[in-house]
Amino acid sequence: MSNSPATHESYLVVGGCGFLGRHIVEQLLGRGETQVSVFDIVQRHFDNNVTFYIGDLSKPEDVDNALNKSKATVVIHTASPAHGLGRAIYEKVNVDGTRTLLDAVVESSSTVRKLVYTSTGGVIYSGKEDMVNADERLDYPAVPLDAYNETKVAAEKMVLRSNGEGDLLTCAIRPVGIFGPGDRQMINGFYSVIKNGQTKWQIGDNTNLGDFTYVGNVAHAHLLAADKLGTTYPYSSLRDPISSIDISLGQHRIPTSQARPIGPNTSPTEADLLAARKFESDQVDESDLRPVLRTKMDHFAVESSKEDESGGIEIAGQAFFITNGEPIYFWDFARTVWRQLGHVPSYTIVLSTAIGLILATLAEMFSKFSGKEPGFTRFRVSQATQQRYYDIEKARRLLGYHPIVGLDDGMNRWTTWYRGELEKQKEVLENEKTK
Amino acid sequence: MELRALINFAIWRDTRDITDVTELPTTFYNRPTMQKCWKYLDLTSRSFARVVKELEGDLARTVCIFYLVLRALDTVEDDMTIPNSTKLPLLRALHTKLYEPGWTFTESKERDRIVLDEFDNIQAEFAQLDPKYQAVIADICKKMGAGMADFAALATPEQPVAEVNSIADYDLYCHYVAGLVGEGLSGIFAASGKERAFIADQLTLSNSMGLLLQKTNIFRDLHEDVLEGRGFWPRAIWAKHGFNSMKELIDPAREKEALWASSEMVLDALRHATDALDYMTLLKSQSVFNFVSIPAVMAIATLERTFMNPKMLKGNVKIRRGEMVRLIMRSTNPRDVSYIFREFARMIHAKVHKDDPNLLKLSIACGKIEQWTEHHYPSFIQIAGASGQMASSIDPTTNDARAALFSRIALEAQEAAKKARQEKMLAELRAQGLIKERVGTEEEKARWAAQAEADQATPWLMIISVVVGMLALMGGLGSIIVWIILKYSD
Repeated sequence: MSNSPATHESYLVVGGCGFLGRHIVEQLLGRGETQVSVFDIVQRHFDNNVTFYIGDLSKPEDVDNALNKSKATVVIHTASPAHGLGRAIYEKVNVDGTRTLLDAVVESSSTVRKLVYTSTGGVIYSGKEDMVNADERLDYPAVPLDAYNETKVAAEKMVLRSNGEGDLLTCAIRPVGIFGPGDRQMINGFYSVIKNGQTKWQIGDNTNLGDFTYVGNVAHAHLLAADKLGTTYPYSSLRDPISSIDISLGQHRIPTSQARPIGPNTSPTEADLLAARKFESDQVDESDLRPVLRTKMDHFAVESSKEDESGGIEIAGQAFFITNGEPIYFWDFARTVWRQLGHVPSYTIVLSTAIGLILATLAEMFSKFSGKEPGFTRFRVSQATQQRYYDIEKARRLLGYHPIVGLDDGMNRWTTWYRGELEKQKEVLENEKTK
Repeated sequence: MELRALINFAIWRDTRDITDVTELPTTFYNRPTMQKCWKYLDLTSRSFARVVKELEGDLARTVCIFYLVLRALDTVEDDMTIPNSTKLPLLRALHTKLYEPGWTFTESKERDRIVLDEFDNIQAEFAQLDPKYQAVIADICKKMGAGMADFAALATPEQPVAEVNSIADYDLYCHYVAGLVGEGLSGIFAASGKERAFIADQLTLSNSMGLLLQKTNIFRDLHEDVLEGRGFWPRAIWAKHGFNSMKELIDPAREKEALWASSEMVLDALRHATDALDYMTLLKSQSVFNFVSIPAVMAIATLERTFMNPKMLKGNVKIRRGEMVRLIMRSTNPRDVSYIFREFARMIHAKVHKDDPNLLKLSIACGKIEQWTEHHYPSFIQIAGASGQMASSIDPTTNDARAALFSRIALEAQEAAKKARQEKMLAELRAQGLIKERVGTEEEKARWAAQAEADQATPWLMIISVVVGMLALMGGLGSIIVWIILKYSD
């Protein structure tokens, strides 16, 4: 799945039994890495070519044990608790756990040289403002969205500050809206809407874009980050164009007089054959590369105009947003999930955002009295009605990131896997009944 | 709104009069052959003629000749009464006729046959163009003729115009008939010196531009083409929805499936939208920009108008003239054009049916246009002001998280510029010996700066008192009116 070659370093994936962690482990193995270890609190997977260290991330002795025995040179830290577990557990894993890990890897005796940390796109999201093509220049909000993101911000800051301590190199990956096989959190949410017969309700006018990212692409970005730590992206490359992302829309190269297929031509000349060969290859004439225009406000306006030919931007110490590069309208994502799970609402009732917020406030009040976890909250209303998409040029350039699986394909893999899980659940229930 | 746009357009828009004496050195309207060529342009291109004439200097005349040469090729290609034994060699050789004074072709029955009947006039004018333009036009004519001949050769007696099969074939066909026009125009713009030289080599973007326009026309002309026994929608798109031939697409009983196919056609055309925007950002001449942007905006508007519109399966769907004028008046810079694209992308998205098999892909395609727009021209930046006096500011009502960041960058840039200016002035004064080096501590410098700042600060107190005063006045007037009404109403 990941298209990068093996480096044969020793990898320790912290949280390697989790949803994202598992995909990272599989991609490392898939590209032929021979030294892959996992540190996690419980073991959920069993591979004979992976060493598992089971322990508590906030306990230095457990962490030291895994680091010493694995002799890891690269640590990928993806451990993070699920949403909805409460502040105490976020603090313990995200803050204390990350600190313990960092303390251990900066020790002079440590073999670790690189650390890639899984942050989240939520670190810059206040919940109030629209994230419109947001890039990494945006600062953490004064008031974090919630306890989860507050601890993610704290951990990300620690990780980035540790860059350069001793000979450690660090960077942070900020994925946005991860989905894919293995995810239960997001898909359960969409599935419960079907079960509750609420799919006909749409809040807001569905004009807000959101990013959703296939887990395999996020894993791929982690591998790239680990590979690229310690390298520099030349300023001059900022003036070169990057390819457009059109996996889901179909990659069709635009024919030109210099690069075009033979087509119905029955007696092609040498020049026609040359143009066809060029078309079939990825080769684009230098002169045909489009110029990169940047305004004063552009993310790389300053760096791209630097004349310094040998200088560049260091990968270490940076944070990177990772998305599928295919932002879509929120309700279209929901409807596609529902359709793939076999449900198409017969009609749609559109509620304005304001009414949605009022209803959500009432629902939250009601659940306070009844003591039940509210399913319909103001947070969910803003999630469904706010702009929430990101500019990933930094990762595309500095990490060489390009999503491998498009939204269309990724969502199919996700819902196919989930339908299988639902089948299994059903069988278990039926077996219990017959007992 | 539209009536106003029409009136504005008629009164305010400067239109170039190609017959005017001052224009003659570049339009050559006084030359009989050129006068005829201008007439052919009016006859064969209708609305496009106007945009051509607006091009500055000799560009208008060059593009006019380019257009007529390509119209001649197109007329041969379209003419079903010309047998392939004549048609194919003629398509391939037409470029040589550009150097053959007096050559004409009188066997066409097409509506636009005048460009073949009187090709000698076009040739005469071609021969008088600057050789740099001649080279571009002849080259494109050769390539397009060869491509058209390749496709025309696929015709059979049962199917006089061959079907387009795959998406790759569709792209290639559109490259030959329209992408090459884009390449040629870029070549002409660059040769004229009115656009930068590298535009000539931007082949991919030039082709994308042509493909967007051509695909829109092919899409829109479905009904007319099918009635005339042809059709260029690729089989790869309609066969998926259960059709065996393009004729079936206009069968009212199968409207639903036909609309799914049509929706997929729009999706395919939208692939080229951001490339078209990219191309337009590279242009610097206003008349060239308008020439390119007007058809592009018309294309996206047409896609929106015909998208999921059952009327397009029954006849020709057109954009009202008033609406067209309103769009033309707005298409003067890449920022506004990208906003127009976004507007139509949103309208297309709003029309996507929840059962559309391509719902997700259409969402991605429209999202892509929105992201392009926000990346290049963040919409919370307002640009206002009359000609030459442009000022940008940040929309105070925006909820965009980038607004604070942009204010900070702008402020930092302003301060850096101010500091540089002050230092330069002081250095000059010092150099003239007018002032002595005024050595101040950091603190003093900060105080001077603060003093200077205060001198220029916004007079908040005055603004507030004016506002309060106005409110009081209005309140007072209001109560007087109420009082009068109450007093005299009974």
